[in-house]
Amino acid sequence: MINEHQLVKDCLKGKPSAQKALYEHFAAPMLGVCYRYTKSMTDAEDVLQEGFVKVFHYLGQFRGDGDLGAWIRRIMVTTAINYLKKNSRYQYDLSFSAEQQGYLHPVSPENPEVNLDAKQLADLVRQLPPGYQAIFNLHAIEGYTHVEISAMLGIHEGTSRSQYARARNLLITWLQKESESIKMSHYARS
Amino acid sequence: MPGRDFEKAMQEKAQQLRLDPSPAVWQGVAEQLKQRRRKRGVAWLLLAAAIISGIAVVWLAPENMIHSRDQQNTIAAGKEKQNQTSPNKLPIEANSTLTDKKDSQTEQPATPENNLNNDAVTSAPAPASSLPKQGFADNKSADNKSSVNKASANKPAATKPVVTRAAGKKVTVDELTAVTAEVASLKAAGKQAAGKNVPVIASDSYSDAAVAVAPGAAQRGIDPADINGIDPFHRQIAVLRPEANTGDRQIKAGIVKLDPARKKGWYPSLHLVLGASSLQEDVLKQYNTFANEYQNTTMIPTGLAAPQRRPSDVKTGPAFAVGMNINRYFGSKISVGAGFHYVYMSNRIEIGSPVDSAYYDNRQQQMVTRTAYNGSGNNGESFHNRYHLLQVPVEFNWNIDRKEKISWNAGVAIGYLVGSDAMQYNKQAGVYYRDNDALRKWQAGIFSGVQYNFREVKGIRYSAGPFIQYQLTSLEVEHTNKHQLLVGIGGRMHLKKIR
Repeated sequence: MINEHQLVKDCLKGKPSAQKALYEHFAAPMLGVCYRYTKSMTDAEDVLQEGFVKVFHYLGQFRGDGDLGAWIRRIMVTTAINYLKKNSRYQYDLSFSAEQQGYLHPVSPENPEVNLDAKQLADLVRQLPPGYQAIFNLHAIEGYTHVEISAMLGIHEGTSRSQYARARNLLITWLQKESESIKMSHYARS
Repeated sequence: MPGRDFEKAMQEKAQQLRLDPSPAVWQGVAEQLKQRRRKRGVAWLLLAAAIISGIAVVWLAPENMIHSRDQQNTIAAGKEKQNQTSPNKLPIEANSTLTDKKDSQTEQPATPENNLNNDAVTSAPAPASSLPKQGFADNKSADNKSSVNKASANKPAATKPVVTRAAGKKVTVDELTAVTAEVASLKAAGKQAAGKNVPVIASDSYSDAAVAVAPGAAQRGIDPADINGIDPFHRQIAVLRPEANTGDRQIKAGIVKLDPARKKGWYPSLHLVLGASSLQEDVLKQYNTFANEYQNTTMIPTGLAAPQRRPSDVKTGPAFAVGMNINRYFGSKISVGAGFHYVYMSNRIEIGSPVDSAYYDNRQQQMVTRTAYNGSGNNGESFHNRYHLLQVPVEFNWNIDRKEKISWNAGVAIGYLVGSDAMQYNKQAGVYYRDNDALRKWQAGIFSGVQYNFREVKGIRYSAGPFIQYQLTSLEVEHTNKHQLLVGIGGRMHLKKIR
């Protein structure tokens, strides 16, 4: 167990060993965060790198009364969103048209069982279009409200809600298909 | 809520995801950290270089551009002594003593008082054309004209201004020797013209000092400055006491110290500005948030009602600046300087209630509520957007009046925004949030002020007056018409010169 307080102090002093220790401690979970927002591992690692540079740059602003991991996680999420906005490959899917704003899918009442492991689930989320993917991650996983998401992505609150509903429906459909195929393979084996 | 179990299950799974990054990621991070450190070092070096080069420019300015205030000092001293001058005594000043030994045996008497009398030093009956032209010129300055007129008024009509030294020129021994002969002839002519007690004077409106030279000094090949050990630019009047008896009178001699040189060297000063700052669209127009940042959030097509949100008005907030300047004079009235200031500016907005949000804390395995956003509105809580700048002002200063009571200064300031807790408004979402990356870090501004010297204690002058600073650079990267304006009262403590 590392002493986060001491680690932060040493990082603020500019000690490279402390910076590396901090990175090694948080790199794996944070790459998981970045992975969920991007479409490739290369992009995820780019975001991770950029995010950690920001972490070290703004570490002085970390007050120490909260959880360091959560603080770094917020930076990673923000970095990922900015990366999506900047990157031309994602921009098209992030621009929400007026038609999309008015469209609202009916929310499925079902709560399918999530039998996939973390990696499989993340891969499933990554199959969503980037706009859906970002909104789903922000709302369902990070817990941001639609007001906050609208501020982060520069969209209307209603757009965020409708996109989330779409993403959720798609995922539920895919999960149901996955669970059916798992059941089928189970039966086949037995 | 029908879907909460699904979200919870998704969250739990997502938090478990851990992936090992490739070693290249850390190498990239380490490299960028190094680059940042280098950039920071370069920025400090540039700042230091800017300051040093500014100082060097002022320092290496040609010496002849520096006009000391001693001219005024000399005249002032002369005025004081003028009343003491006996009308029966012949005032001989400065160059009038530049005679050879033979001449000095028969020359008119002189007194130190007369030597100091610059008001009466520019009259002589001899024709101006007979005077040497190189290194000397008819003085056309207002000060000297006035002194000439004053002198002439008390003298015979035949007297008129003849010689003045060109300001800032160092007099050589040859020139002094040449003047010696001329002065001798002037004296003779003066006697003839006026009969008696005619002031025979070679003028000296030398810019830095009135230098009186002992008879014979020029012929001995001694520079007047060397004789007295005083640089002609120095603020002392030096008169050498002659050893020889000059007939029935002797030239009294002595060294009279005038006001120390205040216009040569470096003049540090401490600055303090207290005032208020506001956001402007331009110098005269205050920033209108409603016109610039309001977006009408109508009913969205699905029928979900969105509350109407509008940005808060921006009101003035307290501001101050504190720092140090160093100035160097060019001429008796104009100075140029640079400094280093810390500037605090702020403005006041009203924000609404915090918008609650939550995130999943991986370690504690629970949802944590946080408030990163604030709602908008003009009926909420007051919030001060604060900006901390470090800036390097380069200023031009002009002493408006003769007594140097009032001065006007203006200049430009390059600054760096070192910190801020300002909130930005998101017009789509209608919330305030904090993002320092949205602020422009490098800021350029112009400033101006008027200073009134109200007190001087032990050589330290205190002045105060109105001050205004307008930032030419927009405060935010996205909005190009957000400029800061600081208006206040500026005070300065002018310290003693460094050199």
